[in-house]
Amino acid sequence: MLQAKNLSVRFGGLKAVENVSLGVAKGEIMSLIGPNGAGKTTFFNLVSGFLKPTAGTVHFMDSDITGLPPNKIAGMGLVRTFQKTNIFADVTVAESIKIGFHLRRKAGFFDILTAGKVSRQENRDIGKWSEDILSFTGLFSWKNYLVKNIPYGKQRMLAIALALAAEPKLLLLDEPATGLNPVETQELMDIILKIRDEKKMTVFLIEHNMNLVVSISDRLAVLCYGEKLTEGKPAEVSQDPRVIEAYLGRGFSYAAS
Amino acid sequence: MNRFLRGLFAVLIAAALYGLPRLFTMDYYLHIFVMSEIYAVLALSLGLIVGFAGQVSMGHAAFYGMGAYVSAILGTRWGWPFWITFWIGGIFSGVVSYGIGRLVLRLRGHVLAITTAFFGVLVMVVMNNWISLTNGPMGITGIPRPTPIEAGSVRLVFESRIHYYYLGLFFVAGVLYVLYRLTNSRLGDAMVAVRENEELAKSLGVNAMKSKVFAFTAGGFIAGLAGSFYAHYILFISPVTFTMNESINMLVMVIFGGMSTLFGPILGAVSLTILPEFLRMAGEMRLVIYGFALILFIVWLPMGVWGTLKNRLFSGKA
Ligand SMILES: Nc1ncnc2c1ncn2[C@@H]1O[C@H](COP(=O)(O)OP(=O)(O)OP(=O)(O)O)[C@@H](O)[C@H]1O
Ligand SMILES: [Mg+2]
Repeated sequence: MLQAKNLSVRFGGLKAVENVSLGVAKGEIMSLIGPNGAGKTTFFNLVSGFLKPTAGTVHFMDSDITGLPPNKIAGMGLVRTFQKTNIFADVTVAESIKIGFHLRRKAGFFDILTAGKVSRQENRDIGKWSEDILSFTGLFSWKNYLVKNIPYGKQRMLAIALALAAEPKLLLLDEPATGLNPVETQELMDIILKIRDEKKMTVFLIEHNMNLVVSISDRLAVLCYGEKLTEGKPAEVSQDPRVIEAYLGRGFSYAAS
Repeated sequence: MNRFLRGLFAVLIAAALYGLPRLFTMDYYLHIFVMSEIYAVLALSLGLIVGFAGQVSMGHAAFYGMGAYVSAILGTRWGWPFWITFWIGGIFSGVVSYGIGRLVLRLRGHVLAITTAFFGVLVMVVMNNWISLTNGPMGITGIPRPTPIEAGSVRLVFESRIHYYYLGLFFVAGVLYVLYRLTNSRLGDAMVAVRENEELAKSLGVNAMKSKVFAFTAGGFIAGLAGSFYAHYILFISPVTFTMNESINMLVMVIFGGMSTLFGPILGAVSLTILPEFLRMAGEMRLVIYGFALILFIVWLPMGVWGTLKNRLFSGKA
């Protein structure tokens, strides 16, 4: 479904991503792990069009999307979230989700001006769509709150809800569990699994929480100093001595044991 | 019930607007009312750009002026009727604002503000110096009034201020309707998305540049229409009407009334057209008081009068 070939980007002299080839298959939860500064977010930026690669190509659903602008790539069904909490702060949760439906709303200019068929149908649909997504992500009771006033964990969830509103075929999540407490992390895991199983979306995940990664991923890839170290089933990868060496993090040895 | 109340409210407002010039019949008042209407349209159009799309423009008077000049030139030189030149003035401003928008909207914040201000100055320079076309600082006189509308036995003429007042009501209502539809659509939501967080907007499929250019073009088009209306009301135009002062004046109306609502700019336009007239009594101190009042307002009510009220009154938004 997604295929990166020999992808590279440099920032000055720094090889942030170097010659990485990586594929994501339809219907799976694929995870990308690696120590801080390994180039994971940069890889997401390359794939989603927020950065242009200096070399290599990205193919998504059989088309070459290398260097396309992010909104085009999102329109093709590849939507990403951000590592930092990226939200529309000064609107309500419901309004924010409505903005997220941009790609699903098709009314043209004159239809809008004349309150035509498409617009009216759209306005009816939006209510239902919102309700679905807000319930799915457990945000329903927060819908009338200003986004900046809801708890941090809910803001993180809202970022995922926004991406879901765009109805992606492939969803890229950049460290969604950052800063969540154990209960919220568990909720997040359940939701990611439901995204794959109920919504039939493919998920590509960056995550430091090894517990989460090992238990929900179908496959793992490891990035280190911008290069791909290895990829495979979570159990295999986490036993790989090269990975353990690169990744001497506490979380990882715990997961590997 | 809610619907009934809304209907009642609309009828009351319509009745009040209808009755207003019969209560205040002096020409002086009527002139203030008509100018309030023109500024309401200008503030609404700028509000789309600044309030909804979040792009600061300090050159809006240029689009106002271009609409006025195009319409006035066509009317005086070729005798084209207002009902046609009105639209041509708007389209001309719209096309120019599209071109300018494409050029400048990749800039942000202060740089964008300064660039649009510079564009405003540039248009002034053209108005002042392309004398064969614009008659320079002398301005254009003898602009024709709108020709009467005849439909069967009904004959509507546009000869005195009260006629313009009623025509202006239709103008404001039309603009309000269009902006209401736009801001409650995919296009309006895309503008808000870009204003709130451009990076996130892009990640959700919004073409940020297109959205900004659209707001800028629509805003320019409507300002051009307002310019044409103004020209055929005052019947004389010259460059001094379309200065940077005027651009800032419109910006203040938007900020004062409340950005990113439709009622806010109208409130701002009407109160800031009427208020300075009251302050005339203060003589020399007028501008000082005015400026000071504005600063206090912006400090205390950063969301504008209507934005603040709206949040207080209808705060489902905890
Ligand atoms: N726009 C940029 N300009 C210059 N350097 C950058 C830029 N973006 C990332 N880098 C550098 O590239 C390297 C990889 O960064 P990246 O954010 O991709 O790491 P990461 O794997 O996501 O790390 P983390 O786990 O901390 O999120 C880092 O050294 C970072 O400082
Ligand atoms: Mg990162």
